[in-house]
Amino acid sequence: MSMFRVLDISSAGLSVEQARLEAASTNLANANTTRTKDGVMYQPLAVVVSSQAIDGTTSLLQKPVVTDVISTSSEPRLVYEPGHPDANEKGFVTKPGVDTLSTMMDLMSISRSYEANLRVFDITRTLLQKTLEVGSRS
Amino acid sequence: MSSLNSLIVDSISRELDVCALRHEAYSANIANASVPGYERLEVMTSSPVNVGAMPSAQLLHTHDAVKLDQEMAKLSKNAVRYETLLTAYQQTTSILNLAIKEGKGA
Repeated sequence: MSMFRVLDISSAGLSVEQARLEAASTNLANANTTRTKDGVMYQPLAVVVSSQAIDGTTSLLQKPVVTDVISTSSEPRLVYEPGHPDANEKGFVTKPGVDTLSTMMDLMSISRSYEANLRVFDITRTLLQKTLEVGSRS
Repeated sequence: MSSLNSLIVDSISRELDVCALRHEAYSANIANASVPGYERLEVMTSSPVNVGAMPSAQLLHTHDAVKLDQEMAKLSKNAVRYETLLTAYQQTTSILNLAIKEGKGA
């Protein structure tokens, strides 16, 4: 039954959105990090997603997969905070180049996509259930 | 009578297959909505479903991006169609069943 593949596709979609959610929330949480363990500035994470064919099929149907999670090389922000222990001699603190606004927008789209995939999963399950019931009542 | 019934059952089950394929396509579109450069899939049917006609369906890439809300709407509509066809299938087979049991019993 080919419709079972849809469940795989939807759950692949769910895990991709979860990975994007993790990256976005890590970026937001570290927006004000001025020190890291290894001494380098925190670099915002980005998730690389690509489509790949479902195992063992030549169909055009593809499922999304997380190919890579990379650190982006975005320009750090300089914030004027003279009293800060990590401020330079001019009173500026270097903070990671996290774009809080666009990350919040990303979070919204991630949330919508996750909901959509979950809904599709649910609809597929209902359809499969109804298909199984054919013949049981007549 | 018998040939008519099998024609109905045949066309319903063929259209069910098309609906299932369409469901797969829309689900894949929704799952891949956040992949850059993904082109949405659509199911193309060659002929309308008449009794006895054999619709052939195939997946094709349309060259536009996925719009999540529209895709969701199409998927829901298709799911209702699938359930309707299932009900029609069940009705037809229950009529056949009635004939098999010579009208006795439910």
